[in-house]
Amino acid sequence: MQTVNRPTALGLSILLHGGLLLAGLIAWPFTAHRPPVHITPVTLMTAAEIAPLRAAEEAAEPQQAQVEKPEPAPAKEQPPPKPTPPAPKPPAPAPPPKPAKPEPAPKPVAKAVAPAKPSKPEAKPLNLNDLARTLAAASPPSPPPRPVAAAPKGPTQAEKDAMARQAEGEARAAAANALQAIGNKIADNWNLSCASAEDRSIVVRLRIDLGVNGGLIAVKPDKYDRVEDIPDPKVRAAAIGAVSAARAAAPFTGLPAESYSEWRTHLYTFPASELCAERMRGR
Amino acid sequence: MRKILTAAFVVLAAQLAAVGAWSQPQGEVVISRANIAPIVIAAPGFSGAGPHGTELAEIIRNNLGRSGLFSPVDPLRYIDKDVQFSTYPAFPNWKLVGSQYLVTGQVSRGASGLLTVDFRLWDVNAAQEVKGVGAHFEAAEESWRRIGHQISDKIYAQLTGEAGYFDTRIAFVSESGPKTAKRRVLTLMDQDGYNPQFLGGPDATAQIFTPRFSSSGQEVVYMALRDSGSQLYLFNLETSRTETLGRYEGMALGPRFSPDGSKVAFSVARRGNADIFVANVRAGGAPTQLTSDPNIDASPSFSPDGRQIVFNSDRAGSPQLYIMGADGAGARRLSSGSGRYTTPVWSPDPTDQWIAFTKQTGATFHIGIMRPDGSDERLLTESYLDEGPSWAPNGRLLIFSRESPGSGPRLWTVDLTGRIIQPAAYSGPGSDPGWSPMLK
Repeated sequence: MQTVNRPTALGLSILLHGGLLLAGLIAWPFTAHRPPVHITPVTLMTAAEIAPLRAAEEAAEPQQAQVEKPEPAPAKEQPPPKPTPPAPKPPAPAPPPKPAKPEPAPKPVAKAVAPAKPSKPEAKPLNLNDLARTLAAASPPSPPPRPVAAAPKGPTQAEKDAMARQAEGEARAAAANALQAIGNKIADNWNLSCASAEDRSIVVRLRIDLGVNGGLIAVKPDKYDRVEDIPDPKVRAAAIGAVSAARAAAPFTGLPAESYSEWRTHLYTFPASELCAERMRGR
Repeated sequence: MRKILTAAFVVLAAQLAAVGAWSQPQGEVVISRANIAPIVIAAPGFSGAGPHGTELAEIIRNNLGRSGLFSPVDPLRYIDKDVQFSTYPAFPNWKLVGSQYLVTGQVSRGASGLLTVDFRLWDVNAAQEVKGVGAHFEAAEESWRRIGHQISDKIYAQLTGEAGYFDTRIAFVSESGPKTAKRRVLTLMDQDGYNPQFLGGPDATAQIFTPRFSSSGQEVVYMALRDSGSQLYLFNLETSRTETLGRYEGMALGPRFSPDGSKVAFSVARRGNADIFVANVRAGGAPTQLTSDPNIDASPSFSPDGRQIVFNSDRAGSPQLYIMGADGAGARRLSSGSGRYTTPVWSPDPTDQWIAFTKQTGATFHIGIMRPDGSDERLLTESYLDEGPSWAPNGRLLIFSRESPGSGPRLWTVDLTGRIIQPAAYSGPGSDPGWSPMLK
């Protein structure tokens, strides 16, 4: 039987866990709750476009007099039927993957308001000399640096900081674009009937979990396990519609895998009353 | 050693916490646009050996479509024409025709001879059943249309969050004959225009006005006008019995039940003056006079809790809306705009209260609504002659009568937003509509 050198193992363990802690602390700030991203509103459909109403004559045909006919016995409703298992096996909820199909290019997000869009991310690798020249040109003239013997060849701290800032900016922009693309696609699939036009504030918040390939892993109300658990019937109805929109919109293709952690799990707010009220004001 | 173990545990705990934090939402996205459009729904004919499977689906499509909040898919576009209730639908086929939701059902005849109907509602995008909607009905065969209405109500309630209104009836006055010898008879029909019943009146000479349902839906109160004067009547729908509601000097007008059905408020006009009275339907006795000013007070309507009454009065010069306590105390003016306000009626929805009214501005008539404090007045319609609104039991829809120059009155409906306005599903001449509560 081999024996382990206890102090060595302990030192290794502390080193390993210290590293993990450092990684955790670095990751921590990125998990902070960020301000909402607003999708730019586009023109809503006009009343004439949405609901061509049927003429009454279409509905009522028979109008024969039934004078003094005794009222038929009212229909008795019973509890929902015992769930009879359907004969064939239900189809798998997720559509089969299409491996051969090339991944489409990321959806343009021109409609979305990108929060402080920095420079466009460039495909070519970052050129440190160009970056140094840019920084030098941008910075105010400073006294010539004192010659330093055996100066290091790599990038200076300022260059490193600039690189980090640029990389972070690019990642944030990519994540913001991804979120806007997701939001736009959900909005495209969100049909709002505005039955409860403006009698109160109906807002639905859904938590949506996505896979790295943009597939829908889970969608549920923010504060409830299931849509059916929402007690207010009007909010519940709005949530049914919002969940349906998220399911119809998935999968979300063309999302940047490198910023997966930024769009993997997000809250999506559906301000139903607000949009219906806007519609009312515009009628 | 203990310190080292504690430190290691803290490190691990911190790391686990950090990892756990990744599964928390990273932020929030606000979806600030939507397709403001009706909900697209498909309802193929119900399967099973029982009768009316095709017609039940048609009732559901018609009801939901007429609400303006749903857009039923034309059955001619269905890929699956024969949908079995007991099997999972082929969701991709329903997605292809643009349907968001699907209704499936089956009809059979039970051993007792009763019609049995089951239905389910499916979310096509989620490829799963919408929970808590599907139901099983048993009824005598002659009630099959009511089953269709009750299924429509369940779907409407689940997908809009509002109570349904399809399993209801309309009482109204159907008019026939030339203008000089018009006959006005009490008529009942389902809200979708089917099963019209021409009930006439207490006798062949009486002209019927303003039929209104009790809160139980079992009684209708109306005014019958004869050469000898007017009288109020109660008609019991279960027994088909007609009773008079007292005799009054002058002309009794505009009767309406209290929410609990125990009282009827109305006005009595005599010698150029009209005042509001309340009669106790069950206990009988002399009616209580609520107003006594020298002007015309008319068209009383109770609040949903029965504590207040809205009415119109010309005490300020022209007809305006006023609210008072159910005992007649504390009358205050409600309407403030120009024009003549008449026939106020309080919405039955206690959670979202409105008062609907007829408003005349110049030569134009409107159906409008305002809050019980007089705020937020909105005119929903505009025409040559719109009048006499009555609320659907869910408080989202109004039925009223509209008359165009040279033609008789017709029944129309408008929703609370004024967006969905259309002729009612009854093409004959009709006026003075009163919407029933949900049928029991």
